[in-house]
Amino acid sequence: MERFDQLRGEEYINEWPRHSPQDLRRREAVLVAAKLVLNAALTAPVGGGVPQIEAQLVYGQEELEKVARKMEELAHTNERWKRRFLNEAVMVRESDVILFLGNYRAAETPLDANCGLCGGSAGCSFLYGRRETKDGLVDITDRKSNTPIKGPLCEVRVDDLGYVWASAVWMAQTLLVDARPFMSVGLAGQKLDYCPNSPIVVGIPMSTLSKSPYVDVNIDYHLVNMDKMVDSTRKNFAVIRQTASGLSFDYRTQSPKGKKEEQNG
Amino acid sequence: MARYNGKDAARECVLEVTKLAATAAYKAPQLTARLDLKTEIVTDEDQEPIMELFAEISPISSLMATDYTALNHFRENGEPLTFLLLGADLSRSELGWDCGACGFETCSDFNQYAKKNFSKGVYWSGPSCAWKMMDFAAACDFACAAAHQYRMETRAMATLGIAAASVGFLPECSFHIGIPVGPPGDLLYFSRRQNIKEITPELHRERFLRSSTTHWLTFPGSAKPSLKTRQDWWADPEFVKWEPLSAEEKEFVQNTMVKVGGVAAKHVPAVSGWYKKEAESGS
Repeated sequence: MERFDQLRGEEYINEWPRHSPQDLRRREAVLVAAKLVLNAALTAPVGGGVPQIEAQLVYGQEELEKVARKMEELAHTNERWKRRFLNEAVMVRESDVILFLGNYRAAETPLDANCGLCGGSAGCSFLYGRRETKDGLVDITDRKSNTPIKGPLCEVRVDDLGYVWASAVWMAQTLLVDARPFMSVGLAGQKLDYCPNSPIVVGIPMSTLSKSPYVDVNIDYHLVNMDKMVDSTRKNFAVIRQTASGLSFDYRTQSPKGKKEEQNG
Repeated sequence: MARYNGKDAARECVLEVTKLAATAAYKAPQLTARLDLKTEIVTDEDQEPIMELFAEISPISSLMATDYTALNHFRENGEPLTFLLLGADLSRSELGWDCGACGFETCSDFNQYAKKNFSKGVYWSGPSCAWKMMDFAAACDFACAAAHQYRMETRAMATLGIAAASVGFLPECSFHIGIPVGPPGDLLYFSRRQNIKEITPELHRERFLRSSTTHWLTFPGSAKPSLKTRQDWWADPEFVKWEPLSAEEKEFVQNTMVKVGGVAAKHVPAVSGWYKKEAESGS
C-alpha cells in the first residue's frame, strides 16, 4: 500500500491575495471544473450528432490579460458595444479560466438542407451566393473581411454552437462554478486565434470568487472596479501615511497623544 | 390515499416536468439579452393538427417519418406525452454590433434585407441573427437539460417544430423547435423499438448506399468505379449515376406537398385564431 503514502497533504486556500499560492490552488480546482464543463459541451446535442465543435481552455494571469486587452481594443471599434466590451474585459481579468467554443463547420461545411434559416426562401443559395465557392465546395482561404466576423454562416451550425455553450454553462451552474457566455470574449479569442478553425466563437469565463465577477456591475465599471480600488488604495496610502498624521515622528519613542492622555500625562 | 402506483405517479409528472423545462428555458443565459422567447405546451387533442401534418409529410422525408412514428406510437398507446414548443423571431437585430456573421456588413443592412426578403425555406424562415440564434438554442438546451435532470425522456426535434409551425403554432416566430416530453422510460427517442416494423434489411442497405455511396465504392482507377451493391459485387457490377428526379418522383413529392398544404390550410385558421383571441383579451 506504498502508493497511498503519497496520498496526503494540506492545502490552504484563500482567494486573497490574487495569484498567491493559496489563490492558485483555488484556481486549479476551477480548471478541473472547466474540464468537466468542457465534457458537457462536447456531449451537447447537435444536429445529426455531426462532429463540428472545437474548444480551447485558456488560463493564467498573462493569458487572461491578453484576452482582456484584445477586448478593450475591440471595444473602441464600435460605439454600440463599447460599454459592454469594457465591462466584460474587467470580468475576464477577475476570472480563472476561459473556455472558448467554436463551430468549425459554420462557414466551410454547411448543413446543405435549404432549411431557410440564413436567407429564407433563397435556401442554401443565400450562403453559397455570398461566399467564394466551386461546385458546391466553400473556399474559405481568403480570410479578409470588412466585418469582425466573415459571414454569412450556416445558421443551423450556429444554432448547434448555441446548444454547445449552453450545455457548458448548464454544467458550470450545476457545479456551482460562476460562468457566463460572452460574445465579446469569443470575438477577442477568435482574433487571438483560439479555436482557429471556427468562423464564430463564444467565450465562457469561469471563476469561484466570493462574489461572482459576472453580475452586479457598477457604472463605468472599467474605471471603478476591485483592481482599480486596490490600486488607488496603494497609490494613496503611501502618501496618506506621511501627510494625514501630520509631521513624521519617531515611532519608537514618540506617539501623538489624545486630549485626555495629555491631561493625564 | 396512502399508496400510489409508481407508474401512474411517474405519468402524472410528465406535465409538471414540462412546465419546469419551460421554466429552465427562460433561465437560459443569453449573449444578447434581447431574445423574445415564446413557449407553449401542447397536450392531448390539441396535438392532433400537428400529428396530421406530420403524417402527411412523412412519405417524402425519412427524418420526419422516424419522429412521426415514435410520437404517434406513444399517442396511440395512451402514453403521457407533451409537446413543449419554443419559438422566436430571429429576423430582426437591435444589437448594432455590425459583426457580419449574418453575411451583411451592418445590422441595419440585415434588417432592411429581412424586411423585404423575409421568407420561408424548406424548414424555417430567414434571415437570422447569429447571436440571437444561439440564445434561442440555449433556451432549447436548458429546457432539455432540465427535463433530463428529472430523468424524463426528451429530445429536441426540428421536425416537431416544423410540423407545429406549419399548422399555425407560435405564428410570430421565424424559428421553431419542438421538444416532446415523456413518457417515462429509457432511451425512448433513441432506441425506437416501434420503428422496427418499417425497416427491412433491404431498405436499410438501400438507404446506406444512397446516402453514403463512397463507402461501398470499388477501386476508382477507371474514374468510373462500380459500387459494391451485393455480396458478389464483382459479377455484373452496378455503377453510380446521377440525374434529376423522374417525372413520377417529382409528381409524388408535389402531390405530397399539396396534401401537406391542405392539412395546413385546414388547421391554420383555427390555430392562429387562438393567438388572435389571446392577443385581443391581452392574455
